[in-house]
Amino acid sequence: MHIKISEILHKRIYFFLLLLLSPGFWWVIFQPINASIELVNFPINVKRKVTSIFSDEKLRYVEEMRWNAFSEEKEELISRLYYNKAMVLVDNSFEYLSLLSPRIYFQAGDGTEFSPPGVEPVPFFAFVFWVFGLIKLAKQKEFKPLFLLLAFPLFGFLAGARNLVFLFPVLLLYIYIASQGIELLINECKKRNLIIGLLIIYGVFIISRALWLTC
Amino acid sequence: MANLLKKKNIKILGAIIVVFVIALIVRFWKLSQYPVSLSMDEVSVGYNAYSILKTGRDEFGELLPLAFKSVGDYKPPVDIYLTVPSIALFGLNEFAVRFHVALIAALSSILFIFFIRSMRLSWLSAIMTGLWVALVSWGVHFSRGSFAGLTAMILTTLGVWLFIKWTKDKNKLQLIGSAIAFSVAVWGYHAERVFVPLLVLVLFYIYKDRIKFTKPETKKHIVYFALVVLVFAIPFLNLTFFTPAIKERAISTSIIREQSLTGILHIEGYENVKELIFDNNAYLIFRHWLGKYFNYFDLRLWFWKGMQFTPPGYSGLGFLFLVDLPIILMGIYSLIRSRNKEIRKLALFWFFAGPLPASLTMNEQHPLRALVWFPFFALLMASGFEFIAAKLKRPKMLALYVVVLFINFVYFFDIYTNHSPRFFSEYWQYGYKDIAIHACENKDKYDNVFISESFGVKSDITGLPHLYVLFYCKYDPVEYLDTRTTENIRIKRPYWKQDRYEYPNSLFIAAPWDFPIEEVPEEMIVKKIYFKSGELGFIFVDTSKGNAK
Repeated sequence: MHIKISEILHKRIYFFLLLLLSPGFWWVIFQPINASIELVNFPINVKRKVTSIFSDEKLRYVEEMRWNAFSEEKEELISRLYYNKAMVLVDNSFEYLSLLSPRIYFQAGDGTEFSPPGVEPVPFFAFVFWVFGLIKLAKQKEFKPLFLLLAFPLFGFLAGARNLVFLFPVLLLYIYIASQGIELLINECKKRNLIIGLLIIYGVFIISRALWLTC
Repeated sequence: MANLLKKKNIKILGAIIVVFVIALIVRFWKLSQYPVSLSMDEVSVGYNAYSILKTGRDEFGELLPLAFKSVGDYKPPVDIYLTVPSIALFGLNEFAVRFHVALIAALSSILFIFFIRSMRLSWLSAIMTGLWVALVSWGVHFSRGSFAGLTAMILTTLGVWLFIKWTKDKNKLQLIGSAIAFSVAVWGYHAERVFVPLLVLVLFYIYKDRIKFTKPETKKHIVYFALVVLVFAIPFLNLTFFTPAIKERAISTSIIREQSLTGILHIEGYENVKELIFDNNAYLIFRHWLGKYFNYFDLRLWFWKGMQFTPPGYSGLGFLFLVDLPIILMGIYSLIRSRNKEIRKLALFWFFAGPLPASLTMNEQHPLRALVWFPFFALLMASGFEFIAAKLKRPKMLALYVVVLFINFVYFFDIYTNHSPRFFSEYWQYGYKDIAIHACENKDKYDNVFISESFGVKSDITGLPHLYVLFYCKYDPVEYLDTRTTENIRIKRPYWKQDRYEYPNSLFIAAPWDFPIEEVPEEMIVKKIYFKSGELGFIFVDTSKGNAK
């Protein structure tokens, strides 16, 4: 068992390193009570979200566009074809996909108590590695993490909350993908130690800053 | 064989012509009417070009300026000079102001075909990309107005294409042409001033194996390149360091001036060491910029709401069409797995650097400033087409794409011609054209015609009505340079309680709330202008027609 853990640690060293340097990770795991409250409220929020998808307000936008579309002949077939509930679904799909926006993870956070104040949940430099990580996964035809990536925002979406508690799986997966990028880019690099040293210093800086802002 | 080749060439030529004709139609159809009004920038460009044509000077009397002061924003000169011939040909009107961008943009669909071909992709992919360029919302919208960013982006692409051609053919004229295109692009728009120097360095790096720097002939070519760049750069550097032209513009749009940032900066120093370490200005500025930069990596922006044609809540349009999403994904995959290292590296650079210039400026997401990113998406689309045609061996899927593309285009057309005008006509200064024409035709009946620069229903917008008066009244630039006035047409907001007595025979044109309308007797209102939303935008109040309540 002991050997296995050390093997995993060794194999995923960059993943664990990035995880430790990510304030977003600490901020979520050190708020178990608040996170639990969010999770307890999940079913109610899901119900609210699902009923709001085709809410009157959203359908009113569609109807208003349909009414003003194409020509004077209101509500004609072509208007109905273009402006209908499918538009609401597309809008919701992009709302769903926006939960994958790198900005949430590498810069802004979710704007709630689950995000570290004044710093990015995952160090910004991980974005570059994240891009290269995606490249590596696609190159190796390793699509599993990418499909998981598409599935993970579901919790956040259903909860109707841009909230790192629900988006925690995405955060972890982003860190994993970034660690793949690190492997691709700096494993063979001669100045690897220097680069990792700089990354650690930056990571420590943002965690310290978040703590300083909290206290 | 020769016959076959000939047949193939004729087919390709035919396809290129079809793409060009589509691009022309999409850009020139009702060019004067959509967008619904000339923007402030467009009237300024138009009148300055008119002034250059008549006097050789701009509206401030400067002889053949390299930066047009205009309304203090120091407009880049390229588009203004390009507008001069069309104004000479068609007169001072909307069509003339928009003509050159529409024409250049239509031609760019051909340029993109050859650009993609230079990346060693098939003719089919290149022509499909040309068709996409001809129809995509991001390109079409900015080619139907005098948007300097579009001309500059096209010049940048031209520069890259010629550069790549040079690395193959080693024809010095190609490299000189590339240097000219890049340099004019830098003169053409602000975003290119940040982007193009980086791009040129990266191009030399990416193509270093093909360039073979040690060859004497190559060295000679690079000296020519440097000389051309220098010829364009010296006056530019002069403007940058010894005049306010470049600096002022950069400062006025820079993120450094944003209140959300200036409010948290420690301008008067730090209170203690901890603050210096953990809350230093460098980090705060960096983080602020980072947010702007990441704003551009957003699928919603790319495919759903990026063009800002509709308000929040309504269906919209992104930089690209919805139908492009699967092609883009296939393009990314195809690029990643491509053996063509050069296209891979170039795309990667463009991916990271494309949003850089826009992210340094104030707005959250700015489709015009992000236009330098456009060729990156063209590359992705081309790779996607190549993937479908060559890897999946399903060229019929491309036919399906074309069908769905046209369906998507109809949606764009409706949003662009119906919805966007009714939502946002006031932001296009809609109404000032009619106001200017009415003011000019009736100015002799009044002692004064006052036009308010403040208007709007959704928000209080500040316009530049004097530019519209100059433009639509076709004020003689010689006379305007001399007097600096538009006779009795003056820019002033009404102060109704006082003005109705002070100016008894005058015409006041302003937003209804600016009087306010309740205090103006109905018989004094001689004309009304409604925005495309149907809401009242302006009322014309004739003080000679009776007494106020």
